[in-house]
Amino acid sequence: MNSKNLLWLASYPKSGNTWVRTFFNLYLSKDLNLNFSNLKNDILHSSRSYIDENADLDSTLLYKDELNLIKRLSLKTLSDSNTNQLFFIKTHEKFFQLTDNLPNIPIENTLGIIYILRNPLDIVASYANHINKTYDEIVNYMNDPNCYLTSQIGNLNLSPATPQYVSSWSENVESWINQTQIPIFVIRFEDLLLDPISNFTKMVEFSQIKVNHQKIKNVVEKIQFEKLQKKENEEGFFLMNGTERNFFRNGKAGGWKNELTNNQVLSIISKHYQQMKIFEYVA
Amino acid sequence: MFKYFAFGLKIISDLDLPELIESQFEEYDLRITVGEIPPIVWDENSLHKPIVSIDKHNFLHKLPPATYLACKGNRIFIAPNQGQDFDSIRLFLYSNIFAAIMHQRNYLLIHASGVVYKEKLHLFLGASGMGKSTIVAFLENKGYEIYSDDVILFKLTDGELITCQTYPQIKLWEDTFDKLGIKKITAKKIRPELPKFGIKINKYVKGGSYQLGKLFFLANSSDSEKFQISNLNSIETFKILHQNIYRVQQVSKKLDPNYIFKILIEISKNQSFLIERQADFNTIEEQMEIIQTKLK
Repeated sequence: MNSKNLLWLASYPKSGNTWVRTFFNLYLSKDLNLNFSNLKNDILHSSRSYIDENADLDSTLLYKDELNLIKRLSLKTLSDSNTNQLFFIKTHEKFFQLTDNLPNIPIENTLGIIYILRNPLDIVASYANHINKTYDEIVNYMNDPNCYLTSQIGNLNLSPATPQYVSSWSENVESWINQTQIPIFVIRFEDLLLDPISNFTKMVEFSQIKVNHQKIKNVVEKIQFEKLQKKENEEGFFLMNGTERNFFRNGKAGGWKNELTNNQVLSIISKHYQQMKIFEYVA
Repeated sequence: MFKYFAFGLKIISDLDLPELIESQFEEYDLRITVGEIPPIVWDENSLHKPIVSIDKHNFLHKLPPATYLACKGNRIFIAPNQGQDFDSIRLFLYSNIFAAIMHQRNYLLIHASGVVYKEKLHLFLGASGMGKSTIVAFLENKGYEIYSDDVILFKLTDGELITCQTYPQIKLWEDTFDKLGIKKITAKKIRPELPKFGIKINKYVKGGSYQLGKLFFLANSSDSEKFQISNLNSIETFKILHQNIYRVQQVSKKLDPNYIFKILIEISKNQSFLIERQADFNTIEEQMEIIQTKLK
């Protein structure tokens, strides 16, 4: 029998996924002590380490199609071997079919998906800062339906992360919200900013975790953006080691108005109008 | 029937294994058969997962090129999947199934490459991608004798630490050749669609166990320093060694934790260094100069 203990935190990059991850990490901790290094223990869908461990192999020797199949099987193994544990898995991949015509995640082991989306116009500057690219390069990534993260073209598998099929912003959003096989909770980053207590409470309920209203309030207090930023300035953040840039950069909605050129704005809106309209990012 | 010597074993095989050393002998230690996987009687403590099944005597691995079964440290069965090439079949045989055979023979495998210098075996340890193979390829070019690439095997016999090597090949990703200034002419891809190449080790130490010399642990730097080397005490060495155990899942099913502990303690007695480099640190000449100084 399959255990349904995988809970996906899915999003396009720089859409608030780490903020949600930090919330759950702290909410499920005993002491409410914010420690970035605890996030390293979470499962990243892109990581080679859980694949190598659960499939007992060196995943850098696999071709991309083989890797995707074994990645899904490794998550199934992890889930079936730890039936009493709930796993939060962060992913930036789109929801898509593998070569066996089955989805890229083990749906039979999945409890649900929390999909976080953010105004694509605000993603541009945040993403550019994160990976040290120009705004134009990021706009091209966001518009590209074939976009991969750590693509490792030609199976040059040198990264500790596996290739991740992210696709364009619109296709990423559509792929998750239009699938009908798994329960999904969709939340806009902007709504989370406006009313974090109510929205994090809904996420806890969706995750079938016991709701403790006081604890949610305390955690939300601890993960206010300014506090995360201050902590990063004092201690650093493991995803940005060796750079001068901040992971927690701005955390506000609407910053794009002072950051993007008209051409960049037009390029994003024209490419993603349909989804942006559905989620009320454009009129 | 082909005859080889590798992993300290006399091997007879249905399959041509050109990466191993051809040998002549009458009695063998390990037989490799290509064909159907025979029925397996699993013991009550067996573990079954979608890709791997394992118990004390058997290890079944369903991999893209083939299904493999390693039994009792002396038999390997290979059932190739349709349309698969023999390069891929051999690659996973070497990297996964020989590991299972050696676990069944009570060896602990460590992620390490080794060179012999002044009659001692010096180790370079680290996970895949940390540069172990690059370092031994560089050292071979400088005239050092190579003991093993990627994996070194250990066991305790009457309290004595015994080392064992794998087979005479270094595997390098395509981008490493330029860094090392090595030509790719004699190298062959280890899988048809994988830009990783196997190079025969010419200065190969053949057989035998060696006393350990120095240990160099390779890690990515977590701060802004491009390259730094520091001493490790034996407790730190033990901890990092533990992280470098090869095929942890198999080990936990096959070897007694006390036995593993004793082996790691023995290895930890040697002088150790931690080498931390940023991921984009490319100046191999500079780091090798420091490593060679420490070796001497």
